[in-house]
Amino acid sequence: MTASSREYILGKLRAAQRPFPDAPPRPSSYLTVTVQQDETPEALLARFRTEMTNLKGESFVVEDDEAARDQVMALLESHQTRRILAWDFAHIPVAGLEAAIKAAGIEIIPPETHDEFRAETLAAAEGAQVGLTGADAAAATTGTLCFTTGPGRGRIPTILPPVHLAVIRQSQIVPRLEAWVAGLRAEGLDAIRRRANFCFITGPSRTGDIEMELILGVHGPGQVQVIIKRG
Amino acid sequence: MDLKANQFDHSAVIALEDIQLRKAVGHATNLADSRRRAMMAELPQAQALRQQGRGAKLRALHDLPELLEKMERSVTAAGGHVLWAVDAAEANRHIIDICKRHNLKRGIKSKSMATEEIAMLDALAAEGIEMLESDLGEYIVQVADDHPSHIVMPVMHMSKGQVRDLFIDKLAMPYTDDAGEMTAFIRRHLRQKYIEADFGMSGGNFMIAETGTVVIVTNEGNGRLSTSIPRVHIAVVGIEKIVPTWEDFATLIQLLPRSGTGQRLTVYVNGFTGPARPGEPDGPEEFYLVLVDNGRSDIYAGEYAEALACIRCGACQNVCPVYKQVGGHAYGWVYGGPIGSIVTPLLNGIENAAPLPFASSLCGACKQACPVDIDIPDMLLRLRHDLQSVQDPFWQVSMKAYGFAFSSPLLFELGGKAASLASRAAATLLGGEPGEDLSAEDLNLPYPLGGWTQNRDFPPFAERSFHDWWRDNREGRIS
Repeated sequence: MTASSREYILGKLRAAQRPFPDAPPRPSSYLTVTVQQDETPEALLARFRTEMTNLKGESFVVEDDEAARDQVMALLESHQTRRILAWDFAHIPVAGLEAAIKAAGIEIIPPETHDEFRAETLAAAEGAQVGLTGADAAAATTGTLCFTTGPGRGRIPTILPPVHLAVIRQSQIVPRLEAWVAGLRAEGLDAIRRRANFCFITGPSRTGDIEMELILGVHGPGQVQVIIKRG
Repeated sequence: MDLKANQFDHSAVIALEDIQLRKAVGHATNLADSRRRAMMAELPQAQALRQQGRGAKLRALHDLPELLEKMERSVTAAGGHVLWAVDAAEANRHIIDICKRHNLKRGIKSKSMATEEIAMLDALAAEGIEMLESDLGEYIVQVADDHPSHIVMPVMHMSKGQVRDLFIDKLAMPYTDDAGEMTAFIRRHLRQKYIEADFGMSGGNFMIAETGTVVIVTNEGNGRLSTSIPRVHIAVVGIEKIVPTWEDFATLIQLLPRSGTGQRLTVYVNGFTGPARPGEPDGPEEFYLVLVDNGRSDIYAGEYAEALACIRCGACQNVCPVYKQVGGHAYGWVYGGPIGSIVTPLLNGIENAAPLPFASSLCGACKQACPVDIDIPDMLLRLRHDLQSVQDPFWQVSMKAYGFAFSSPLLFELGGKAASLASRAAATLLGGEPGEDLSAEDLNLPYPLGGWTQNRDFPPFAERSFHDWWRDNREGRIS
């Protein structure tokens, strides 16, 4: 049935006189949507932080690994964290972070839901106060964190707990989404084909469904905190 | 949902008398539109960007069959499955078959107009498969046994008080007037459902053909939860949602939220390229894409293919002087407002949605607001014309007669005299005195012209035509 439905639909589309023969050709260079004149690292950092603040997210700039570690630990403490859902620490750019979290007596759960302990993992994950991740990149003009999935880099830590903590390096901030896409194109599209999921996350979860009143943290995290390490 | 578009005239009057509804819809549409304007105003090249977005959609439609095949190849290569559905029934059958194959009993879904269009919830319920809406607005709609009234703001027709009463009544929510507390109540209520769900469902805002990526946009995070935790993900997407490249997507993904909700970007832009790969810790192990035609290939082959360029942002609804007064339900189907007045007749047969092309003042605000510059007023006008041909053969005959009568001065003058005499005679027959001043509201034209005088006054013919008067008075005025 499916095969014939496929042929039926495609056949109808092919038999039709093609609409829009005068559609403009694919542009050799695309206009970018958002504007950011000054693309120096400091300007991009400032723009990203401004957008983040406007989105009711928070950002913290730290000088080095030690400061980053202290900042993460301070934030975990502020959320009275006893359990976190976390990416593999190899993908979070802070040296010594895993040891510091364990030393604080905080339980670390990797979001492994494909094995036989799926039910237990999910039940435990649901009780985590914080999701801890790195990110692939950040787009300054929209205050966006870009994620793709891979070994050690799951989806659930970015979405299930009430707080999402992400650590990035300043050099990961690109001017805009189009720059991230251009990077992808340069790398070759197979890079995307190999990963099941990409996600742009722009601020905390929000809704305006009840009388357009802004409410944060509907289903996803109500707090997004980004720690930006210099360099 | 059942098609009730032919009852528009009646439903619109009921809506107009509902002060609460008009207040809610007016408030929400005004706010959404002012946010959209601010977001477009900050773009120095807004008009050029609209054309860039439009170009992407038109190119995609021109190459639609090839791009769909490319999409299928890409999804399959990524380990996903693609199913084609000619109509709503077949789409639902595919989904139910998937559920049976994997023994799926409980689903959770994010917002999708396509699943609304194919009435999927009813079809699944009939098979005993539980499906929960997780978008707050859609969940309210589901609990209230209602239908969404706007493409991106499903419960804009409801007040906070109505939502509160609904939750207290149906979900035993403790009393509160605070929208934040109501939202937190629903967060807790749905939490466990994500974890228990056997499968997650979504629609698709874009399909990027070159990599086989289905993209959804949400603000609440329910879309990411529904597609990250359950073991199976089924995406149901209309065939017109395809774009060729990532660059085209990068433009459109920013025009959509600016136009829809007045955001630079929605909080979550989530893309799926097949199921979770080996080594990825979470995400669905099975990925299905159901490609829905359901009348779109007919639109494609006709004069209204431009309607398929719509990216469903809802901006045209927020600016429409008709929608702003009556809300979405009056339109009697899934898609309301200006674009709905085109899509509903095209997908359901024009004779089954006859009033909709007329539910517009043709003011053009919709075209101006549209992020891809769809010529909505032009299509509405052409649909009106088509409808007259379908419904009223007399109209065509009388238009021919009209054209003939206006083709020569003699015929025009004779026609005017005859009409003047006839209207006088008619007024006499209807009870007026001969020679009495004909007052306009006295006269209702007989069928088939009666439609014209239902809502208008028919001006009485002058006793003397201008031609007559001119013959007597032109001397000395003009050579």
